[in-house]
Amino acid sequence: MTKEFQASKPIYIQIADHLSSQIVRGEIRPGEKLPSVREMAIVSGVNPNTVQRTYSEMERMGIVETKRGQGTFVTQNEEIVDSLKTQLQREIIDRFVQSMRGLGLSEEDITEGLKQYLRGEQDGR
Amino acid sequence: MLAFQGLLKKDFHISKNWFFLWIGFLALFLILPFALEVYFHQPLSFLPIAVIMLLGFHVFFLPGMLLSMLRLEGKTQLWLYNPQNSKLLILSKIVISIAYQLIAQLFITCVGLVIYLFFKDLFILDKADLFIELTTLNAGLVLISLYFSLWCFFYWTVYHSLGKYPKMKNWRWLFVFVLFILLSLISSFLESIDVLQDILTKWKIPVIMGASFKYSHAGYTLGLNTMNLPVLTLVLYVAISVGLFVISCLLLDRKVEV
Amino acid sequence: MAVKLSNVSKKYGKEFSLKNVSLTFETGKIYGLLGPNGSGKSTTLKMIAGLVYPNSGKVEVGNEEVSRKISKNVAYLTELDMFYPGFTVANMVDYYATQFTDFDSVKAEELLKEMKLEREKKIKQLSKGTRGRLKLVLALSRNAPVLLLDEPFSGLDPMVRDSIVKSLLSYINFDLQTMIIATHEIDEIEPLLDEAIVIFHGNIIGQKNVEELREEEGLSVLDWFKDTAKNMEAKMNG
Repeated sequence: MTKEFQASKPIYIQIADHLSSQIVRGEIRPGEKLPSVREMAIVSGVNPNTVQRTYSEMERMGIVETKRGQGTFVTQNEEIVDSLKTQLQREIIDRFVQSMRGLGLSEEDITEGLKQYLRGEQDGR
Repeated sequence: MLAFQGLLKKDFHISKNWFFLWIGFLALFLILPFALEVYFHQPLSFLPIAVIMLLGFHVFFLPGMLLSMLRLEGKTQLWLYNPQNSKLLILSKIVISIAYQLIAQLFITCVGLVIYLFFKDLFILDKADLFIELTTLNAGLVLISLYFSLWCFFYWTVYHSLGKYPKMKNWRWLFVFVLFILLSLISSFLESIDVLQDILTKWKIPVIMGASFKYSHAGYTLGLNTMNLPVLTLVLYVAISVGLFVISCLLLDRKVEV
Repeated sequence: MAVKLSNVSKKYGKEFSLKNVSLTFETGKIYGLLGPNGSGKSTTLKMIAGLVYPNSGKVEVGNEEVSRKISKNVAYLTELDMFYPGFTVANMVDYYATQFTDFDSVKAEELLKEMKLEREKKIKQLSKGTRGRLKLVLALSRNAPVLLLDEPFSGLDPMVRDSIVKSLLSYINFDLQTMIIATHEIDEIEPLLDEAIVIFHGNIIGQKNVEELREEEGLSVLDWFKDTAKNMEAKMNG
């Protein structure tokens, strides 16, 4: 299925984010080959030039590497994958905390709220 | 060559039903007089006239067929979305139409021949070589209808060239009509100049122009009339035809828009 | 193959359909020509296809000034009903194969299957959406250096649109082809586009690289289009 994209963020970044989270979750293993630019473009219904940009960007960040004539592969380097995980985690927390602060909540309120929510999630469902 | 075959096939597809309709129409107007003859026990009272009239109608067949095809194409004009030369596009329609017309004329001619064979003793033919005469008659019909068709094609392209001027759009037919009157006036004016006439009719060749059918005491007389056709006039008509074709194709290439 | 319009104007009577338009389309890119109905999108495409001539200015496809013959290099999907009565799907495909030397019959067969079109079906009996798919088959089966699509989604339901976007991506050759899509349905094609061009009353009122637009202004093409159109209307009314 063609994905829906957010309006305000470049599409190539949105695809990179999506791939990064798949890598962090282990859905795409280290050393695994990514789909070719064209395949990826078809799957996600976007312009191949955009996918090309996604891959270049991810290569610059060291998450993937392109082997000439073979395609694009996820890095074997566990450190990079770990730091990617940390980075994504930070980004999510960042957004969460920002929004909570936006509501005028204090640090205790936030941690307390979070704890309660997690407990409720365990009990409730 | 492949492209032209493709065009022929397409033009055959879009027009074949009209052709079959025409053949049906011809059959009907042959059966009807035949039935009347049988009913009134009056052989050869209607059928020969029907045959000759139907054959004569074919002067309008080619223009009619061509205009029907062009009308269909003219709905969107997307037939012009084609890398082929416009001469080829129109030639394919003409070839198909001529093929139809030849088949239809052959059909009528054969019916005529069958009638002739059945009632041979009732006919007095002034000419011995029936085959050549019938061939020239049929060829003449095709050529005349081709000449009319080229005029139709010309007026049609003029009409559609005017399509891009919204103000003219509803009045295009009037423009074409005025053009027609104007050209007719010019041609009759030229015809009235004696010197021109003299030159045009100087050299003549005998050609069969139509058939006549007479009844006298001795029986029926089928006469295929020969006429002395002036060579230069013929050349002029050929030149006009070529001119019309070239101008129409130019208009089609440069002025008719989708 | 690159396409270039230089100072092109097209008038129908006194009405301008295009007003002094200059545009360049590069090889290997997908362009969206966006605007409301009657804005001049179709005229622009017809002009590139050699089916309409400018009153002034020049239209070139690969350095060749456009005439009717340019259709050899330009595959064009029309918004009009282009089919002959009595034709079957196969008749139409075979006809195209004879007329255009770059028509790829193998590709056509694949596309017919993909678009679920039956060769023997009479076109007359097809729904509007199915006819739309056939038009797309005819256009995409050509290996033409320029591909023009006029409202390729009209009459198609959303599920089909998705698969059509995929076919577009699967069957175009990005190294050689230039693609221009004219549409007022921006949502569907936004992720496909390299560049978006907004046309309004025959004027080009903006051209943007889609990703730059998002990166620099945080706008999707649709947002940008709405903004641009609104500004334009405000300007025209005041």
